Amino acid sequence: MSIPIKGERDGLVLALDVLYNEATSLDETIAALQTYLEQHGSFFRGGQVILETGEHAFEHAFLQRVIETLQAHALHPIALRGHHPDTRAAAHALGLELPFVPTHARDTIIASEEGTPALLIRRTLRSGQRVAYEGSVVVWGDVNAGAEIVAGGDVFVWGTLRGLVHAGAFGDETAVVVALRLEPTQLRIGGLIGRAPDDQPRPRWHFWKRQRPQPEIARAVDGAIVVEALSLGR
Amino acid sequence: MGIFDRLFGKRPSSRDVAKERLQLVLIYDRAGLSPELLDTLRDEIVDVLSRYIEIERDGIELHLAQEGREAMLVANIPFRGRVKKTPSSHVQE
Amino acid sequence: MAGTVITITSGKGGVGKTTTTANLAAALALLGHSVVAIDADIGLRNLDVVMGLENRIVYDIVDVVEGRCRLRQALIRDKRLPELHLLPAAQTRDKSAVSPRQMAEICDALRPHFDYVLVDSPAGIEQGFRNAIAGADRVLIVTTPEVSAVRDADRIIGLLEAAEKGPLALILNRVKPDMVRRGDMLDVSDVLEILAIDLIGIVPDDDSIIVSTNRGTPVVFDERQPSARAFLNIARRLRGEQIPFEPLREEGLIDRLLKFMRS
Repeated sequence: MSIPIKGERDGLVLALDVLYNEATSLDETIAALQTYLEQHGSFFRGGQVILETGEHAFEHAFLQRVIETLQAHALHPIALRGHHPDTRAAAHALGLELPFVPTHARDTIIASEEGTPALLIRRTLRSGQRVAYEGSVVVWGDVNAGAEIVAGGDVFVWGTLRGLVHAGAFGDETAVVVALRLEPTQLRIGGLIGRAPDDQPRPRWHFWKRQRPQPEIARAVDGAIVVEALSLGR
Repeated sequence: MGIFDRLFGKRPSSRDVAKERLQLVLIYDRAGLSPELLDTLRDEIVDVLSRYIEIERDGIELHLAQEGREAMLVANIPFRGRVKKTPSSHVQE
Repeated sequence: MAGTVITITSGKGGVGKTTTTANLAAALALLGHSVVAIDADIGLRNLDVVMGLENRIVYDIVDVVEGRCRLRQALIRDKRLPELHLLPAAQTRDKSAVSPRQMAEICDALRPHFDYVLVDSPAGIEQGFRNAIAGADRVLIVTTPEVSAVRDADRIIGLLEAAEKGPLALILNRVKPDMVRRGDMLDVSDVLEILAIDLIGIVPDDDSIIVSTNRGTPVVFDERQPSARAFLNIARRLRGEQIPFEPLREEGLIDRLLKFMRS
């Protein structure tokens, strides 16, 4: 078995993903953690621990058992590092911090007035790229078809939105999606899903007409997603 | 290709070229055999055979052919005279 | 009665696997069968856009495998044919998210509920291909009459034979009769002689395929198109009908005129 707890610059890191890969079941993962802590736990006593989950999807119940096991050995789990949205949602519900793991050098965290920071993405998101963030997401570029944004808060696209966006991913139906050109494959706000009607062709962009882009806002109204022109100062 | 080239039979059609190239490349693909390996194989077969019979080294043809999806090794080995009564034990380099 | 799992593969990319899958699925549904088409190209999904169902995807095949939803929930019903369904691939994951065993399990779970399960294979001979053939009862190999495509088809046929997958049958796609006549394209007989497998369809090169992909409506819905008739014939042969191979007609002046007037 590899050493599951390592000291890093940010503190102690428990490699839950490695531990799980070496085990054959969730129960065995907990058992392996238990064994390790019984042998070496006193060394880390009182330390704050970050859970590393990589790409794995872990459920609320499992993470809770991990947290309880760590606490039983006087360790304090404080945060989770992982990419899977389900794992992050479960960690969020368990009160763990979710430090943002930047996947790209041009992604930065910006502060917002309300206290929840937002993620600023200064590039075009292309097909197959996926961004998940607990707060709001601001894209300075386009979101192409096949790209995906999952945000706990609002999503603003300073460009054309053609991909899939899920705003208010933790269930917040007051979240909104704003884009300079809103042509999404599909929009999700909280638990609602909306898509463009089948028979209505998307307006074409005529180069000879030089239309000005009309920014639009999508929000949840009475259990449905409604799109309207964005008028500022409202 | 111009119409005149084809009328006077100067060049085969690109369809025939394609077919021929494909057949050749597939024979080697299927057998996993390179032309170099085929040369080595040929030399070794000749060495073994020449222990028993007197053969014309230059007249030997060895190639791969296709039958259905099976690859076949076809050897054409002309030999002179009779089979040697006692096989010569030396192997020609 | 249990359905048949048919995988559509090719080796080389860009020879028309996805178009063929979408059209055969729609053709079988038009003939009254219940059909599900599975996109096995994880990370580069396309069957959804060719079938025009991209904006209905909520769950995908990786969600099924990882237990985030039930198989039924991930199936998207076609907007034109209620008996036609799509199980989409995930776009933001890679091939390793699904194993051949999991793919075979999905095929087995779908088999009792549908007459036909069509699996659209990714190009190549790596894990995506092995996933796609894992549950197959039959395999259709798509190729175009080009040297590179035929060579790759041969490689795939060899791998399928080694894996004892079958029966195998060939679809020759994008045949241009006028080029064959001029001696500038491999003929059906050339390809069959070289690959030595059964033929199940010849699809003529047809501009209406591009139009149908643009619109997200498989071409079989417009029976006037030559490629639509070819796909319908393949669907009939798949269900055991004896349909003779029609000689491909060259596009004459009148055809071109008619086409021009229609467009």
